[in-house]
Amino acid sequence: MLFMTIMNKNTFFKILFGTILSIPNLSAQSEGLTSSPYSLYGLGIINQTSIGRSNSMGYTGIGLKTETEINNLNPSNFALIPQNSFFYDVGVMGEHNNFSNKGANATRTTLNFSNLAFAFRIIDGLGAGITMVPYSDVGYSLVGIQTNIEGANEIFESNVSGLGGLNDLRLNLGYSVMNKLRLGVSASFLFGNIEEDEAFVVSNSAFQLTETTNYSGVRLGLGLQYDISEKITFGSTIQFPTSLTGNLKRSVTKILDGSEITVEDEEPDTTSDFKMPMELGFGISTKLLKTVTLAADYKKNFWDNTEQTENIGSYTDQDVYAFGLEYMKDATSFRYKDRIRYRAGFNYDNGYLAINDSKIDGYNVTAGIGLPIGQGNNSMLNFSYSYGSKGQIQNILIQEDYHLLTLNLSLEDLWFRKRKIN
Amino acid sequence: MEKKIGLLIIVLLMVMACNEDGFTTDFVAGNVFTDSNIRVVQVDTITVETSTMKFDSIITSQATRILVGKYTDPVFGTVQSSSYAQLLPSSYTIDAEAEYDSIVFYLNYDEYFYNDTLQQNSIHIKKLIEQLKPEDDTNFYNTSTISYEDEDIGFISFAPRPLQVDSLEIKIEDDFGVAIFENLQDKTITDSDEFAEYFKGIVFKPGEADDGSVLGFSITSSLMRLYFSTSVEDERVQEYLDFTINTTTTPIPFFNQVITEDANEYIEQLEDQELDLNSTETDNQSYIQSGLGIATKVQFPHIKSIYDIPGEGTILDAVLKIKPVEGSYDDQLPLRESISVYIVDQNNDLTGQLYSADGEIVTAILNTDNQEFNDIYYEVYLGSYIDGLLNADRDTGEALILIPSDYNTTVDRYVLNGNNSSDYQTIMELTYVIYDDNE
Repeated sequence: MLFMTIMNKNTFFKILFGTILSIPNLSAQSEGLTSSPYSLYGLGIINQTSIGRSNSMGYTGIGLKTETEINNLNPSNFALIPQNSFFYDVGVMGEHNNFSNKGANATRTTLNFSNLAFAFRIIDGLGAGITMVPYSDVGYSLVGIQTNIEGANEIFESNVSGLGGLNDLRLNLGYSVMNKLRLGVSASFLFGNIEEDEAFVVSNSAFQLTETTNYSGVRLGLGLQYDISEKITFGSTIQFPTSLTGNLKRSVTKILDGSEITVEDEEPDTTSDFKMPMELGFGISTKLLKTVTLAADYKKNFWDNTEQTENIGSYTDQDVYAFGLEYMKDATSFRYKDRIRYRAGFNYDNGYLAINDSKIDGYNVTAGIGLPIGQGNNSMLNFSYSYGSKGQIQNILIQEDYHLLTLNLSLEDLWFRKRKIN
Repeated sequence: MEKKIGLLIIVLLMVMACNEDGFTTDFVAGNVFTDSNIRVVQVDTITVETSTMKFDSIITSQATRILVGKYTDPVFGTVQSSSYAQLLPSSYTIDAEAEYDSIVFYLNYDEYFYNDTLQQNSIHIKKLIEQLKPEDDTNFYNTSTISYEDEDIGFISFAPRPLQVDSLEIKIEDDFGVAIFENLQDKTITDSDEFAEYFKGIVFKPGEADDGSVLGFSITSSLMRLYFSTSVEDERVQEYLDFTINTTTTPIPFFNQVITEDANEYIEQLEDQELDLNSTETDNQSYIQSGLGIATKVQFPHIKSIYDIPGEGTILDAVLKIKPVEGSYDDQLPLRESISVYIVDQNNDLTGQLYSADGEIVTAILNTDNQEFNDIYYEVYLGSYIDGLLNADRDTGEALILIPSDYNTTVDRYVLNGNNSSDYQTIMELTYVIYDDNE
């Protein structure tokens, strides 16, 4: 029996790492997912989706004490992984976007991978986890950008598109310093490619520029959780500022007199590194009436200090407010219905990019349900739905409404426990 | 456990199956939502150096027409073309009973003509006194000479009707006809060698005082016809023997001789093929005269100065625009639809025709879109040629020349504006794209 469980464990690792290593394009870089014109800027649309129940609770989690699943929003929470438990979590997300500006609107639907994670306890009071989530998504396609030909009374119309995104592979360690206080440390390895493409036709010739920027960098973070009382937990996190190194490769091709000419083929070119801001987060959660959990988070991202600008906008400090609640009748009930978790949340983000001094803010309303799988463990199928909107139909800006569905398979394996029973 | 792994795999497969994006919307996010990262510039200040050169000689023995005529032009002087040909009979037997009637030359128009066809033309046909053998044993040139008898064996003065009439009929001296007739009838001449030895050929020469047009005649259907008749019972049956131009022998015993006299002072200077007469020294003009091998040469000595534009860039198009000098053309001296573009090496030796990257022949095309404003010019799409120049490591001394493709069988002439003309410059429009501003 012991042999059996060890083999199962090995099988699982094989599958997990096989997945990560052998299918790199299936990594958390969810190509084309955002499909948002806003992903033109910076590293793309920064992904809010996390792991497990947080998705349906307005993306709260910093102060959310949880012993039954992975909480990726605060590394100190990894200290709470129960003995003999092994958590893993796989998620997919589907998004339906509707973009509108003053004169038109368009819709797009995408479905993609959202996370891969596992966590386990190392020794008593010390837990670890490895998570892989998309950090940002780039997916835009702008058609018919008109530019004057200098020295002539003509214009050329180019099409600009972008594709790619960054992944966040994070190692988390959480340690219980004392009963009420947990500290955590995380190291994020951020990496990914963003490809930008511009093409146009002028007189008898065509031109195409493709710039692929590979970003990579490491970002460290700290977290703490403190149980103020049995029912109230306070949490805080900090992500230290870092700089992602960008390596740009440029390819230029043109069609001249009907034949294709490679002007540059993956020539390296300098590009500025991308600076990530310091991010400070605070959260609190409380249990009411044994059945309801409330959580609230506040995050401030200090983009001002990165002193970065885009050609039509600049990065400014960002505030994110999140609220969430979960209702469950009775976790230990024998009635399946009673063990189902119902969740709702709200998230407001005042935006980090200001275009003509107007910030692109956005909000999300979330709802979700957690369906237990089996009995005697914490495995759960988590569904979440989120409706969000960002931007505004004003001058040049675009309003984007989206519906986001996530499905997480949050599983718990109990190792070595059967030996005890035997 | 196994169940869960199974479930996990299903989810993963689902993700893989769904991991695709549909980039189909053409939603215009707004022009000002982003700027293009690219600048496109049109530049017409690149130096175009035009000059005139003259080939020492051009091969005219492979000509496809008989070119005869003469005109006087203020720029190119008196241009005169004569045609030399060897004739061979279709048969070497004439019935012993036959009697000589007459001999005639039929020149069939091939619709080529140049200059004033309202003037009277004349053609002298003379016997050659020298074999039609090229000096270098391979080719005749426009400058080749062959001596001929002073006396005509045929002559015609006529009003040219190259498009209305099929052919010219020129009476040939009977003395000449009778002699050939008898030689064949007596079997003194029985094959082509003997015939060519006896009758070396003829030359068609325009009249000395002619100043009209140069006309083209078919080399294949023009022929000399000897009429004779035989008595059969009470009737006389007329027969004939044709003498056609020999184009099958190698080297071909045929050529057009094109010469000029009293051209303007600039063209008179063109004695050495390697001499380039820059248009800055010739009233900002350059010249083309196809039959004489005078060509306009075009060079871009400072083409790489396009890279002085800051940033990384590449060219997307290059159009050369050359305007013929106003008043240098009219209905009699027409601008043809196209002029060919060739490449010459640093010694001005022709190396071949210019092709674009996709293998198409590059030609200078007449653009008459703005004819009402007298804005008529030849445009040459030189995109891939200029791209090649820009990528060349060193200057090979190669250059482009403009000359009609049928330069060995025509006498078309052009006067073109140079780069420094006051009224209209020869320019090149370059479309240049800058894709990286920060160098």
